[in-house]
Amino acid sequence: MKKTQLSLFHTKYWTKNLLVMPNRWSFSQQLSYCKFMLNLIANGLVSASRHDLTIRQELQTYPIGFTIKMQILPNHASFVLQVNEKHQLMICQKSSADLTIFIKHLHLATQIFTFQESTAQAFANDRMTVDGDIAFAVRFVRILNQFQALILPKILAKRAIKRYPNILFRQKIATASLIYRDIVKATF
Amino acid sequence: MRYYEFFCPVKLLAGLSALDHLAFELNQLNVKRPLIITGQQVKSLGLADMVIESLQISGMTVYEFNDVSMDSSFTIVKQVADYYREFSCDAMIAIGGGSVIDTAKASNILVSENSDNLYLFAGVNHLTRPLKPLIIIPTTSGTGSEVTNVAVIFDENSKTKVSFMSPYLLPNIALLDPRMTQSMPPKLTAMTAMDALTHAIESYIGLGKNPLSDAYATTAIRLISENLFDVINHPQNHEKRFALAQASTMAGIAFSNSMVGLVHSLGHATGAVCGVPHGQCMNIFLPYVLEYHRPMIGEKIGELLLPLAGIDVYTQTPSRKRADRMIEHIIDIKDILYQKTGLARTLSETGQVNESDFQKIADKAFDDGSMVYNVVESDINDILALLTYSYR
Repeated sequence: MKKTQLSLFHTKYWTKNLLVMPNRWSFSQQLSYCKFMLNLIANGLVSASRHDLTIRQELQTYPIGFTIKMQILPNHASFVLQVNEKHQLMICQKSSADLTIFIKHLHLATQIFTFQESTAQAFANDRMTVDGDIAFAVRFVRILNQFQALILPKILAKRAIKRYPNILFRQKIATASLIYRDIVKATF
Repeated sequence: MRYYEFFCPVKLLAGLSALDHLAFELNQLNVKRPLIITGQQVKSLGLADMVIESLQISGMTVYEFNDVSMDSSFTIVKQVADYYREFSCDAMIAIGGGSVIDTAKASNILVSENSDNLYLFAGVNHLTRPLKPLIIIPTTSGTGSEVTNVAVIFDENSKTKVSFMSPYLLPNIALLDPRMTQSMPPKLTAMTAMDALTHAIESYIGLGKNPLSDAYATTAIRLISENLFDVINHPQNHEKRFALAQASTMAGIAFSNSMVGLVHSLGHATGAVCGVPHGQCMNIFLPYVLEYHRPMIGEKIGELLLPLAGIDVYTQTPSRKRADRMIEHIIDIKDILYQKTGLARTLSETGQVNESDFQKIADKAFDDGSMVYNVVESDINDILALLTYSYR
């Protein structure tokens, strides 16, 4: 049977090669990747909370000082964000939070951060567990969804979220470039 | 290959004379002074007395708190906890429907954690150790609370429903005795059965479904479909009543492992804003939400025609039309229940919901925990459209 040649520009190439690859990654590769992604998410959310209207509206419902933590168990990597007086997110150094989302294992975190399943599906598949108020957790999932829709190419975002929101391409590019600029500034 | 988890450590005592096994089970748990928690209606029907008598014969000192109202509230929870401490009880036995069961679960948190502040334990996984022994004897067949890890309590001060979720909220024993559901009036029977049916259907179509929850869900749907109208027509039929009680428990096991979705989000919100009973909300929203989901998961919905309508209807319906037939079948069930029991089919028929409430309901439903597990991501506009559709 003739083997199908997959072009670099073909979606299946990325599905077959990049997205399946984490299963073969070593522990240190997975850890580095997840730390990088958590840093990207934390700094990205801080930036998105300033530049995106949908995320700003969601954050209006959180009390000032509310803290949100995302952690890969047991303690591989984590970040804590706090809602400030302007209802924007900022990175904070606290160790505990009002709402914590735990990812149960490093390998599961790698799967989630390589967009092999959506955030909601990851919850449904018991890869993540929540400690805190349910309504705030639901809103945070919506914030993560909007964030992913903004910063990821549509083809990847569709894998990560249940429904791709109505965002104009121009708006997406403009907001994403601001977010990426802030991530680079914060990281380097 | 998908990963899934399934957990149900509740010991089930089910069937004829199940009640007579309770004393032995309590002895096994080293319980000597159980507190019975119930409501006035259950008390007046003599159901609590049956349990008390059965335990007293076995030499136990039984205490009773029978003032739980229709809505479980923080005040009642505190009263139950105080009563438990005053008489140094060592276990709780909840006899009643959803509110009694949730009150018992929440009171058990206070007495086990030796606290008076229920808010400390609100949310997900805030309990860190096993609670005092809890036995649940449902007198309705719908909530499935006897096998779920959730309690919802109304806070009178903030006028909100506060959720508690932890595996430690699961009871030690659930007891299904057909005598306990015998006196349920037809409308309540219909309402609670539609609640159980919704649990099963949402479990089957949700994101968290798995092969085991599917098995429980489809069996529950079949049992409800086969027995509901017989129970409405012949309320004294023990066998059929028991079949509904089992269906409710099976649906409870199914959805506590796969979670529920949009029908429940809408139901929780409508209940909180307008006070419409939960089962009635489920009855109203179920077919409309399925219709909303049909373009995305029509095949999955169509599969449920087999347990709901039986093999003849299923095989005679072309596969592409099964989802539509399934939804029509539920609408037919609603119409028959309306004729026989007066169970409202639309929001307007409840007489409790106004169109001006829609925005408030939609906002609450949007933040409901069940939304995460719904297979389709809905926005506020979708929810408002569903409310309008369910109102006519």
